[in-house]
Amino acid sequence: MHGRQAAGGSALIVTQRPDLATALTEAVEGLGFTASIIASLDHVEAHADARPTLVLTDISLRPSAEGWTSLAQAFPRSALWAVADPDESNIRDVTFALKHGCHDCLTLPVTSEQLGKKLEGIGRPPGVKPGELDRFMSNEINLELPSDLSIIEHVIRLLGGCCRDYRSYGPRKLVNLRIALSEALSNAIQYGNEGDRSKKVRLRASVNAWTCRVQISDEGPGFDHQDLPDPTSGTALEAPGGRGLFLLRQLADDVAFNETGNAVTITLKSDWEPAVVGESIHPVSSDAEALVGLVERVRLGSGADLHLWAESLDGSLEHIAPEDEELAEPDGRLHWLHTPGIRYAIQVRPADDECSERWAEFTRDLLDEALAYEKRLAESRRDLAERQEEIELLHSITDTLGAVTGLEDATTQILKGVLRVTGAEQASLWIYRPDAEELVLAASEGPSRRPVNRVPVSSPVSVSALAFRENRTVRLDEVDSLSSEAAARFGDRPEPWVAVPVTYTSPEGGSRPVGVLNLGGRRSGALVSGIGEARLLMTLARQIGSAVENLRLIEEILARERVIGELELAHDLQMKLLPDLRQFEEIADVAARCVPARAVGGDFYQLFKLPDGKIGAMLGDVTSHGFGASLIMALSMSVTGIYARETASPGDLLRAIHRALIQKLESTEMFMTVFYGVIDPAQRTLTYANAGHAHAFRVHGDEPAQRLTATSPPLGIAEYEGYDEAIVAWEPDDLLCLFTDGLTNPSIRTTESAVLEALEVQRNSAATEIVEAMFEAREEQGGEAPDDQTAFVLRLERPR
Amino acid sequence: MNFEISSHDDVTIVEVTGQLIVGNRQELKDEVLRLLEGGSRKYLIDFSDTAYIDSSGLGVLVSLSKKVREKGGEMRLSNLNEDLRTLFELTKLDTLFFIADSRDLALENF
Repeated sequence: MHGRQAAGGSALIVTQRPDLATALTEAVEGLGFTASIIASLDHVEAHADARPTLVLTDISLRPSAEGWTSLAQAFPRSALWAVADPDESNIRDVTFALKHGCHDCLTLPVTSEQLGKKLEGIGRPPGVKPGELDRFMSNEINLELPSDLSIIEHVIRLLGGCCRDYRSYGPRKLVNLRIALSEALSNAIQYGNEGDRSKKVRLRASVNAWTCRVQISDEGPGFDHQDLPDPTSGTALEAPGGRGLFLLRQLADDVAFNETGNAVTITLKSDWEPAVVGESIHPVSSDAEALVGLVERVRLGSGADLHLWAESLDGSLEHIAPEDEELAEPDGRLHWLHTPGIRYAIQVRPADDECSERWAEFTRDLLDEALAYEKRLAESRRDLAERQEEIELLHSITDTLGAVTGLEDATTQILKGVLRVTGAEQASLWIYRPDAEELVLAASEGPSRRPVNRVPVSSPVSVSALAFRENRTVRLDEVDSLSSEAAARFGDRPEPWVAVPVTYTSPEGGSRPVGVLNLGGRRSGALVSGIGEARLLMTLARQIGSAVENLRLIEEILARERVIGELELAHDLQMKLLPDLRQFEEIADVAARCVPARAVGGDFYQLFKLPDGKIGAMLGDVTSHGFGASLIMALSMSVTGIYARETASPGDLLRAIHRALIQKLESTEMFMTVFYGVIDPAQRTLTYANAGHAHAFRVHGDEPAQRLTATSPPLGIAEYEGYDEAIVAWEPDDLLCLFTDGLTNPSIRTTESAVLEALEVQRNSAATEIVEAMFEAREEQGGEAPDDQTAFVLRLERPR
Repeated sequence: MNFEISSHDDVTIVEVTGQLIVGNRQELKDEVLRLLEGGSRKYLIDFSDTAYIDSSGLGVLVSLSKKVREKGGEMRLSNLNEDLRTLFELTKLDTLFFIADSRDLALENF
């Protein structure tokens, strides 16, 4: 452990600032360390042999992601800390550093005492293997921020990112953290410091895998936090601050104030129990297994040439997915996925292609969320397994059925019990697979008879198939009861052998065979000696039938839950991509709603604040729906996000999307209709490019809605040069109304007119009400909505 | 959706009945690609009994027409109802297809 090496250790300091180099050297020498100083992260591997305990990197060097990667590779056993000057450093740089492999951030001034404490603090939590050590270290964050509401989002990202990296904070905890931080910070800024930018908000956070503790203090006079009325009652509802505190107390595990009331400490616990951390709770190998599976599925679904490497303790990379391909060290840029024990590198090939980069990034985030979901799934599986035990108890024929978890285990257990109960020497259980019309060997106990593990139900020579077909017990020593083929085969050498159909009786009363139980070689005489024995066998078979069927049902339920869960996850992820319209409240009256036909869809909208007070609005509809469409949608959103602010021309923006997506669109035979318009309030114009989008309208005064007709065929069909633009006059209270064909199915004339009529009737209402009315009108028209439905309404000002 | 295939001289006529939507578009695509493989080069897709085509249905028409063109053939559409006609016009897809009001008009000079 680092702390135990305090004397005689060494530190590598990376900075170009002499004053910082001096200060840090003094601090590390105070610990008895030797210090060496380098000026940049180039060729850092040349210092790998030095094996420093500490690597302190000046954040103002703004190391790139590759910089952090090379540090982590050169010094796999070292603590990699960034050093930030609170007066000059950008919180975004710190976030970036922590995200890309930096373990911790120190703020100036740095003292020996502080360093020593921090090093001591890196104790290894129970159950954690060496090498996992540095990833379990706590993050200490110490920031001084201006009283500006815009910092809130950055702080949330920074702390949320830290917590997320530990993987021990579930989605609910992360949401709680987000809201709690936002409440506490806005209280400090708005009420504590009264929005005075010269006053500071101080944030001290300490995050580890188990708790996230954040202290936020302001320069205000404080307040009496003991004496707050119930915020849900009467006047308190409108009182500022009160409600935020109420929320805080609901969301955080602990909320504490200082004496004066100008500093609040919020504590959130992770989902991990403090006592049982380590392999048993979160085995690294199951992460890898899950990731390999997920990568295979993403590859299959998207057609992207996606690769995954696991980083081993010495920093080398092992290619783990796709499993059937061998690939040595990756070239080009990697996207890192952090889990507690290990880092994974993700790359989409061809490397160094802009589109690949974005796919890789998107996939990384998807895998990150999916992994969290896998964890939840494992939990629910455990729950179900517990319920399984109850079901088993009800149906069990022997005690041995107690702890089964899967069909295979269960059948083996059942057969062992059967052998014991009947005294047979060998037993095998065959389960019917309807899709292949076969009996498949599920388990066998005792000396094996034949190396066969599947039999067609129609087989004329198989005794098992006969028992199954005719749903009756078949004995080999009763030649008369056999089919002629079977009799010819077994008749001259009768064996003590019996095949019993295994039946399942549903709660409704119907009974059907689900398999066959074979028993043979009874030690004491004939197997089925009398009526009593026959009845026992039938009862056994029925019980086995119930057990097998229940297990199968449970496996089916688990599989279904998994699919539903994955879809929910994808849905949430997609909805998160859409812009938060609240940030446009001050400049426009805007509302939108997007209802995918399936969990995920291909509809999207975007809104941009552009230079010179202009506003860009986009609505797109990728043909088809589901996963393929949603990936195209995500790519389009990211492309427009990048280019919208760079070009004033809507046609150019469509060309940028065209350039980025045309190959994907052509290879998947998808296309998309896109409307993109830029409103210029100064010139009172709307300039737009419309690639085949049918439903784009301007509503001006009392006039009927005016269609903003397509200027080119849809994207994916139109030629690169073909994206024309059009320009129309635009008054501040004109409505821009965009919707997708999910709202006009099944008839463009009748359904669209109904939706337009609702729009025109509601033209003076607020944007949210207009959207509401449009969806209602669509619903009244009846008919299924097999496609994604999206509506988007915007105007600069409400009419007076 | 069903479709019936007949021929008129060297033109293969595919008559689509019902909706052409995401759930069934593949059938149409497979059939036309099979015919294309078999050497037919001129296609007329007739929609007199089609009420509705969704965006993925349009996608299939576009990709088929492209494939037929690549093989030196041509694909025409006929008998689109008013709704569908509007759909093609609004999405500017009418600039990419030869669309005729009736089967006879489509077969002229084909």
